[in-house]
Amino acid sequence: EDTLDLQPRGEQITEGQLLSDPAAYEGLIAKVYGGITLGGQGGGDADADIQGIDGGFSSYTRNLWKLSELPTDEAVIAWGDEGIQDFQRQQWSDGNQYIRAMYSRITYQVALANDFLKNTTEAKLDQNGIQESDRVNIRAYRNEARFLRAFSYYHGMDMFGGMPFQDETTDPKIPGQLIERADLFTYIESELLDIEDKITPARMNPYGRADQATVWMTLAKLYLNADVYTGTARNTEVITYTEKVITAGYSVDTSKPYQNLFLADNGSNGSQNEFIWTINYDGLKTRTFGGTTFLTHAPVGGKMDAGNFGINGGWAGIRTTPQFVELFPGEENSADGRELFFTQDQTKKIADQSKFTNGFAISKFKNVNVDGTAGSDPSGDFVDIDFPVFRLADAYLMYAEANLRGGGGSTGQAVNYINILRERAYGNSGSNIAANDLNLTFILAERGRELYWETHRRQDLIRFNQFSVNGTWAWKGNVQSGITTPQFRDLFPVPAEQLNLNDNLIQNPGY
Amino acid sequence: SEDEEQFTLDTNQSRKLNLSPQSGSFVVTSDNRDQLAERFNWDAITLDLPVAMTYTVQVDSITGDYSKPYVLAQSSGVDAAINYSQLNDAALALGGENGTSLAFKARVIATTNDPTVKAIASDDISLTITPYVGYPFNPLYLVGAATAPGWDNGSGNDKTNPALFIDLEDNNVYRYTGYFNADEFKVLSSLGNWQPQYGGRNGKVGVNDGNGSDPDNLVAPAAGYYDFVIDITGVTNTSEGESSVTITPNTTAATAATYTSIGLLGDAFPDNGFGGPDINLIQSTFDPHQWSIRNLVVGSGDIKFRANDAWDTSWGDDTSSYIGQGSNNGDPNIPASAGTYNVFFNDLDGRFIFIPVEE
Amino acid sequence: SGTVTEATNNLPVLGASVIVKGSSIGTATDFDGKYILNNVPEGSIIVINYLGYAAQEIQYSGQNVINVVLQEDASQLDAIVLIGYGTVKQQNVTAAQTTVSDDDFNRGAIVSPGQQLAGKAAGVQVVAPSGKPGDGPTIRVRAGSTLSATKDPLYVVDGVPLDQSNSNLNSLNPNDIESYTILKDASATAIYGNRASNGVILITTKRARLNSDWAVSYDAQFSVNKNTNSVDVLTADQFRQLAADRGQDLNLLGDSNTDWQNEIYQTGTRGYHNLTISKGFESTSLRLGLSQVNEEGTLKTSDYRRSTINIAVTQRAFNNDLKLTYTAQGALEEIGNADGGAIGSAIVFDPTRPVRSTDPGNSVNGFYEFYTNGGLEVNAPKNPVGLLESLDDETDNSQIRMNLNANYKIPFVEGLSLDGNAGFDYNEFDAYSIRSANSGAGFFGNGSIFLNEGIRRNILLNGRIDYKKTLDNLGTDVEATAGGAYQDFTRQNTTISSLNGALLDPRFFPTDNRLVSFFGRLTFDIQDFVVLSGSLSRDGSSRFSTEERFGTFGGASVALKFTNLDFIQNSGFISQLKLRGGYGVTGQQEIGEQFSFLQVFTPGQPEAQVQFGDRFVPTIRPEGTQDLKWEETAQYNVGLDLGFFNDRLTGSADAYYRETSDLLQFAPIAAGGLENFGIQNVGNTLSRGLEFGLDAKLVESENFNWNIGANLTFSEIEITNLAGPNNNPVAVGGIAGGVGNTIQEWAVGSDPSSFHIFRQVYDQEGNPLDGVFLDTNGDNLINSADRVRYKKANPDAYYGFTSNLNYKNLSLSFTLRGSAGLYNYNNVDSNSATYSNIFNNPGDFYTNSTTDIFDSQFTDPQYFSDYYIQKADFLKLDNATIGYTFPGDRVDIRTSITGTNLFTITDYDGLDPEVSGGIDNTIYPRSRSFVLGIGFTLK
Ligand SMILES: [Ca+2]
Ligand SMILES: [Ca+2]
Repeated sequence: EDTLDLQPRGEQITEGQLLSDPAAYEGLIAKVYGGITLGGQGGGDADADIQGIDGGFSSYTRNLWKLSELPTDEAVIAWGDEGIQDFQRQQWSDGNQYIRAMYSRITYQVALANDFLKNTTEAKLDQNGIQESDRVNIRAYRNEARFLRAFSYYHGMDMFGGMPFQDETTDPKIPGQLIERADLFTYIESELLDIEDKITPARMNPYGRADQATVWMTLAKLYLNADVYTGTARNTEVITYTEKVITAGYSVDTSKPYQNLFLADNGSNGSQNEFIWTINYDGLKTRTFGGTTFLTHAPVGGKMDAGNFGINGGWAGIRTTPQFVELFPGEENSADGRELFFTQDQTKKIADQSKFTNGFAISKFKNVNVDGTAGSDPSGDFVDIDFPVFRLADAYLMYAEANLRGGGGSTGQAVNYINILRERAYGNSGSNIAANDLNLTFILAERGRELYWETHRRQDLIRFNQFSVNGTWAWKGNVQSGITTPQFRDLFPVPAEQLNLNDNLIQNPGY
Repeated sequence: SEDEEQFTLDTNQSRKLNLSPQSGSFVVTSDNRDQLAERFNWDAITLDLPVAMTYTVQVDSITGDYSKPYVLAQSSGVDAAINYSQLNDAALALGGENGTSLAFKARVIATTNDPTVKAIASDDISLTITPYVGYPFNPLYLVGAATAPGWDNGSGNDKTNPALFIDLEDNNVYRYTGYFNADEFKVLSSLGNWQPQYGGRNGKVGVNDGNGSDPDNLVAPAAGYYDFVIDITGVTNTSEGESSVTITPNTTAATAATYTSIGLLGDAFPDNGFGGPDINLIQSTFDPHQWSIRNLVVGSGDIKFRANDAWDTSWGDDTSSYIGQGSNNGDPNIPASAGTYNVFFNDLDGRFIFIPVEE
Repeated sequence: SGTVTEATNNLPVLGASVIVKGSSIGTATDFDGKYILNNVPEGSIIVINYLGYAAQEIQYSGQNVINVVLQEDASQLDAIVLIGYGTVKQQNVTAAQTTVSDDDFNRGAIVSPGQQLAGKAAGVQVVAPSGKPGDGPTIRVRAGSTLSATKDPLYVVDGVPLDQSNSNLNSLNPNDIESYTILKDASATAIYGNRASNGVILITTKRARLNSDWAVSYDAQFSVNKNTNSVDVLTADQFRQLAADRGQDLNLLGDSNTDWQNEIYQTGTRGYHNLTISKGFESTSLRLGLSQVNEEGTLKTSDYRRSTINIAVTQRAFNNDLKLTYTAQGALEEIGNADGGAIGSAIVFDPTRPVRSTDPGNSVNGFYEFYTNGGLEVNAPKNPVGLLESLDDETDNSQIRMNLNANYKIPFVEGLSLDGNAGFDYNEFDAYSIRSANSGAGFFGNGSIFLNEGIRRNILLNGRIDYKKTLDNLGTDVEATAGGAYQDFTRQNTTISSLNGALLDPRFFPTDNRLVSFFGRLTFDIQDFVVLSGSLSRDGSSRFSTEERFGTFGGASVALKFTNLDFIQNSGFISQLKLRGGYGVTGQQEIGEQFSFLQVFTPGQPEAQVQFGDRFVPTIRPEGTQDLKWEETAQYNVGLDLGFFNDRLTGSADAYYRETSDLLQFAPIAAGGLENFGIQNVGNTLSRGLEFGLDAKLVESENFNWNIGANLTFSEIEITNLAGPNNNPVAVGGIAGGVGNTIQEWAVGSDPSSFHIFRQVYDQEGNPLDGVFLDTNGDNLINSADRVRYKKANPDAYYGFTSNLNYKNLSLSFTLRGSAGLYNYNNVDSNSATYSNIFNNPGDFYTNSTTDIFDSQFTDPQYFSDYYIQKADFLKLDNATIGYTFPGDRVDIRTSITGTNLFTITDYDGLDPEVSGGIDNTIYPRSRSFVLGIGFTLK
């Protein structure tokens, strides 16, 4: 028997070797962050975490983007990969590979966090001989692991309703029990509230790590959409938590162009002062075909010069709908500096979804620095742009919306916050709004103008009940003019694959 | 697959398809544009193979043959909710006129993805649509020390800056014949805001729409009457385009007649009618030839301007509901479009402009 | 002294053994059938033996000359054939197995072993290798039943089981192979329990006979290889016309007329030399084989060089009781790899563009390339010739495989013998792939470098005891075998790649695994009528956790030798009749993962770090674990062997029924753990087959012999269970076009190679309607829910037909081979022939298409349309040879002309219907060869 006991050699490390090394824990928490940043352990999503789909397609952020933006008025995609155009048509099925991958990514994040928490209990640290002096960091990581788990559960609740539940006390080999949407809300809320004062204070963690403000922001999101998730609005709490964020020291620089937020050096060009939490990318050290690499290459095509985007070529995929163009006064000639349409040889109308030149292109993400030089990867494949998950502008808009929805706070303050964004957008205060301009319709439109392509739109439209049964835009319902769709489209289906494997799950109605 | 197991579709099938309701009559207004006008419906078509069908609701003029139909809606389902603005767009595209009811026909056709499969069409239904046309012009206003309001962009004077008059032939050309101080001025497009602002640049017109730099001030070299003409064709933040600007002394205005009063009347004002009493405009204290009235409620019907509460001197023009130039020579009535307007009139050249007041 | 001749044609017999019974005195006959024996004690018995002929025993009573006429053994049933861990008389074979030996091999300049077998045996499917020099065929024995584990059979070369994850047969010179014995059914393979589920192929290399003369023979073959066909793409003129007809931007066209496929292919050549020297002494025999291959491929810049050495030494000692056999095969290979991407690029590169250009705005390093907005267009196809010229890619491989076998008949105990093997299989490889920075393909990354070197080592130790006893009172022969085997596999390689022109740190990838096995077999031959055989093996694999490490496998079979019954013996026309039946259970553990049961952690690469502040942190990924166990295959087999007319006509028929359970399947896992997919023991398959083989000696005379052989196999496989309670189907069969698109599906009730497609709808003229598919669920939407399974890539049947004809010194032979009931997905068409593929590109370029665009007229890609599922039945004339031998006194000179891949009869539209897996993407075309062979033997 003993002759058959071999040990792994090479790069892979066994549990015993790893966990007794205090330095390894940083790598383990980095992986929990890495799960939302990269496709796998190799550059360009090699050695992918998620199987059953291409490595680049498996990226958390890329799928989050597709599921949050393609079904809305903000984006259409030209490609023919199976199931991708079903998003803009709102006719996806429970076999859709991107929905499957998103679901797997969410549950994978939960599993990674659970695994980290299991391996870092005090008992386990004792067992592995980790010194007290090394435990300070590890304990901080534990709060971040819990945050990251709550953050992914929040995505799961938002997109799928209920989820199979696993935490560090459950056996990952036994399919999880279904936790219903409202219960999941309560769980996420309690986790976030519990770590709120344990996690590193706002702006005290290194850039890219979650901190107290990240928790606040997630809580604010949770409460803003609470009516959708639980049937009970929680707008007062939105005011509470956005106020905490707003007073934490972040700032919007109205003297700098909006575009700076989405450039290669957005981690250092001043934009970082507005960022509450980012997923960081680097053309040499954090290389993936998801994330901002996707967001930079995929919208470039037609007459757009890839060189101006700091990349070696476009992927000619994503554009926007005429209805989104019309959100900007003056449309492609809008004085609003957030209007970044590329229109040369592009038609505003979309006669053919598969033609890149149908629909205005958007040049929002650019892998060039403020000084115009390209990002760090000389091959032009991978970009440096950090993806802002949460930024102050969003907190401002949430504050204003919650105020309008009766959450309290000051309307005057809300107008001020919005005018900060508009002053940056217009370069002057000439287009500032007055208190009587502030209404919910305006908020939804302004969120579109300020936050488009930042993975907010699906959630926003659903909160405003404009996603399915109301609201039409090009190709919604698979007709050019757009038609409304049934309400069940507000949730994605549980992937058929998971329903098959886990009897506890129940398919969402309508699928 | 060159296999006998191929599915063959008869590409020439006919089916009965009905579009409901059979008729409808719709009057578009500025208020109902976003409201549901009609939910059209039809039965699903099943060909001899189950293939996905797309339904298209087409509208055409009564005499049309649907060779260039207006597509009102497309759907993979069996109904389409249509609001008034969609009907309005259809009617205007097919020759409808503002406020005039006109009959159209409509049908639904069922097609597959491949156009070689013959479309299946319903019988026609009839639609009567009275379209509504929104305000088609972009008014500009004077500001600056050379003009009545001084350097007040409207925020300090309740937006009373004088409007420029729009050329009937070329809506990019704005004219203003009137009095200027020997000083500088500019042109604004949105009262209360400094941008967008027009001025001089490189001998032509420049603009700052908010993202550019301000153009130069325009100058009236000496106090007196001028013909000010500004053509903003192609002007952008970075280009002067095909623009031009001239300010030419007007030699006749200084001696032109001045009127005691100028009033509006006509059946667009149900309380006044063409019999009066006149609705008097307010004379500018800066230039006695400039007249204006604010927040004037206008019904649909006809309008004329006249001086001194008498028909001896009157102006009208039926080219447009909103802008025009009268000649005091048996002019036609102005076909008013119902709404609330600020009205500007210049008795030197008979030009006028109705600018709707935004709610 | 004397002469040994055979009775039928009265010809001298070469190499018959003439020995004095019970002594070490013996010799073999020479070319003229002559022998000389000295010091023969009077009264002793001289035994004359020759394979296929009845042995004769003659009492020596001082005769000077003893001439012997050998009678052909009526049934050849005493011939000895190989089985797992042993040999058996042909007549006692109880299982489905086939031996194909030298005489039956396919001819031609065959570089890779296995190809000799194509079309030769029922139940053995040999998919021809691609045209790439050095490529080997894909061999399936009873079409492997697993889903995710390997489907390759186990190869055992001279007793050494090869590493299944790296069974590089190319290190064997086909000319040195004596025979292949294919064990098809589980009762035969079960003794190799741990690796036997896909059949076992026993390869025996050639040896010299004892007591034989020096023999030197040399063969040379020279061949020219030409592609038979090219993909039908639009010519430059057709392309221009199409662009004009479609109202496209004619400024995006060039004015050249380039046939890109013509530019990348050439006439290939191959030289092949063999030298064999052999000599048999009284107790020692030696054979040395040397060969050299030198090939230039039909795709420019591809080539292959190989030198092999094969040594076989046999030594007998202790009164012949001990037999030591040492065999060694060494090979040095140099594979020059061309950039295979040029093949696809040549299909789609705009034919109106020139090969070369010096315009800096449209070229890189003198080759025309596409530019957009003044920059090289990253999305455009790269110049096919430029791709070939800019890549320097070579794999060098040195291999040595040796085995020492000792077989000792224990003199004190009659029937007891020991047999042991010590085997060693080792290779070193060293590969590099360098892309020039000054090229279209290397432009953006500053070229690229990839280096890969490593070793693979396989150490074998096994031993067994064989015991034979005749129980006279029961009329029963008993044979018993018991033994054990240990095999250790070590593989490791080091890779170095580059990033933006700079070399990265080396990476080291070792994989080790180990197998142990204990096995035994018991065979009874009762009354020379019933043969009963049973085997058992207990196998352990390091790939499983201690709990699941060992599996027990075994088989039992029976044969009824009706041949030996009087009524058959007397029937006159039936010369052989045997009924066989067996059942066995075999195991599978070849899953490509070594430690799936252990929790391990994988460090991230430097290009996949996570940024914390201004530091980049390498990640460490915890991996999930899977508790795997042996996949088990249970197989029933019944067979019939028949011979007629003195075995002029022989045939066999076999039927099998096979259930594989606990399938090692790469399948989705319920969400919650660290993996969403993994190898699991889930699912079952059921496979069935019928196999027929027929051999006929149509003419048998002194000057004229004509044999034909035919075989036919029907097989089917069906998935009967998959992961999860609802057996959710699994998408498989990745295609080119889009990313991550698949065209096949595993589903319960279907063949695993079933396609999963939209049902295309056609008009009355049979033209496909663009984008019109059957809405199978009637919801008036076309989405993935409307895809259905349709046709499959596995054939219903495959067959081979061989003819060998000899007239005096002239020989003629050919092999036909075919398959029926199979379909291909024409990915070449689906990924090029749509208007948007041609004209709607992300940049200033158009791409070419196959002429299918004229038929389909599709606007957008319709990857999932069954329009592209095309019938791929074929019949191929694999080879035909004319040979002539000029006999001489001291030298025989052999000459031959062989044509290979001479014709293919098929309705399939693509380049070649023979596609592994059923997805026809761009393959290195199989060329047609004409081979001139010349050889001589010194006597
Ligand atoms: Ca960065
Ligand atoms: Ca359907």
